[in-house]
Amino acid sequence: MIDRLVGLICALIGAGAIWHAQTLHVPFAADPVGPRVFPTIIGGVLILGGFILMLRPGPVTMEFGTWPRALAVLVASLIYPLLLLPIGFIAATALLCFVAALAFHARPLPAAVSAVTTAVVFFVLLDKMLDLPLPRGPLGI
Amino acid sequence: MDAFAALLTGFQVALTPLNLTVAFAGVALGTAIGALPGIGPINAVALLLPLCFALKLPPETALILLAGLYYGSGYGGRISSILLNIPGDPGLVMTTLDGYPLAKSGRGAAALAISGIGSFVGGTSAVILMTFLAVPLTRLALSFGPADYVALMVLSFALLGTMSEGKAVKTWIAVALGLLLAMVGIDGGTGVERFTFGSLELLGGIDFTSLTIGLFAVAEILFLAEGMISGVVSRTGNGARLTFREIVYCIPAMLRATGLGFFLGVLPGTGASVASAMAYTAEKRISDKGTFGKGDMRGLAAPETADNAAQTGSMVPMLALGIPGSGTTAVMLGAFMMYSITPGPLLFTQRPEGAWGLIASMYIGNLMLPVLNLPLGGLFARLLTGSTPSRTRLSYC
Repeated sequence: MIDRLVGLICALIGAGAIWHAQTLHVPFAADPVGPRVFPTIIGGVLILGGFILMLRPGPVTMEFGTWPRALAVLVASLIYPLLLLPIGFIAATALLCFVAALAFHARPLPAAVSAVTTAVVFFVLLDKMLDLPLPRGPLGI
Repeated sequence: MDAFAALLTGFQVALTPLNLTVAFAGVALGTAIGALPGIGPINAVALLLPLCFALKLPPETALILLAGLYYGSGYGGRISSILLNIPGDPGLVMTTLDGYPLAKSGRGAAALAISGIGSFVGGTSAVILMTFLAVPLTRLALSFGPADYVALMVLSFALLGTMSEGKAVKTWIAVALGLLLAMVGIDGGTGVERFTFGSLELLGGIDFTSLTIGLFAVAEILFLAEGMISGVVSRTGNGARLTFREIVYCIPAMLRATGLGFFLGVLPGTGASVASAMAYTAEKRISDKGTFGKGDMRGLAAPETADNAAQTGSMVPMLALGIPGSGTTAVMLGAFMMYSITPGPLLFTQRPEGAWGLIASMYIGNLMLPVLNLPLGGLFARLLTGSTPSRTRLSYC
């Protein structure tokens, strides 16, 4: 079942790639092959592979652990980049680490302490020592 | 023989106090990183890259550090695989098959010893092969045109497909998806934007380092959060120590695994994970009498040797052709770019001190590793058997 779904998704991605490739236009042919051919071939391979997988799926055993925990980490990781600019690196990173620590069975207080420490340490390391400017957020720190 | 002379100049570079220290730091850090599940060499190299630049390390020193980290991780990984049944990265799955049963039967110390010897044999023989093959390979590379590079990549992909037994279709799908991701950005030939969907950030393409961290590190974190990785801790055990006869018994397996591992490492696209899997299956076909998977020494020595031989082997095409032989060497290519060094055929003529210094440092590093691992093996084993939360938090950072 999983294989059939993966096959379908791959075939759709392949079709999308071919469709997108056909919209590429070069005003003059600087390259005898052009930008269209390679994505079209690769899209074709994906469609073919996807169909083979759909028609002859292998046995896939799925094991779920405590998936809500993984989901919490995943959601926090997805929200993180969106929060970086509005609230700054330190606050956003502390929040991400806090959620992650809770997901890893930490108690709230130690989780909060280690989250803030991690955020500050990484800020100092990256922004101050490695000169990679990080978003400061409203507090300007 | 000019390889010897060149190697001697390389040793002059590698034996300076700074480079010796850095090589030691690299292999020590690599062992630690290999021993802790969840970090893996690819993430570690990516993390250390900006640090090398910020510390203003000279290019050859930075490369010695990153390479030390890479092949050092091959030594460390076996500890958690054998004692905890937790493979730290995909290349170590095969090590658990016979390593963990050995540890469970009380022969953990012997298993650590034979896998350490295997790592040493694989790593050192691969460096020797590299010394003599790198320059002839660059001569060959000079006559390589675009068509030849394409043919080489197609050969690697095809071999990858045949090696993943019964899963050739999935391998081809993965290859196609990877190529599709690599196409994002401005087409080099015509300057047309492909798959950017109007996004400015995607114009330059998807950065390989970011992609691998997302793929490997995030997946590992989610896996850990789900609690899917759990090992029953086994002690190093007080069973019989490794005997000389057992070492001799494993030598043919190690030699076969070295050749196979090095060859697969040199091929672009096939790294340590394919090599160790191939070495295990090959060894099983040759010498299994029903003992493989239940704690056969050869079943442990073969994948562990191939793993280390492949790691070193994958550096050959990176240095000689500018094509990374594995994921980690692809990240290391980024280090070359940062120092505006172009790896490839001209590297050995334009920057011989860098290229040969790196190779010479790998001889030294491979000697340091067993010395470092014998006393520290117990320490890492104790660190690993500590509580799970501390370990996972460490991996998360």
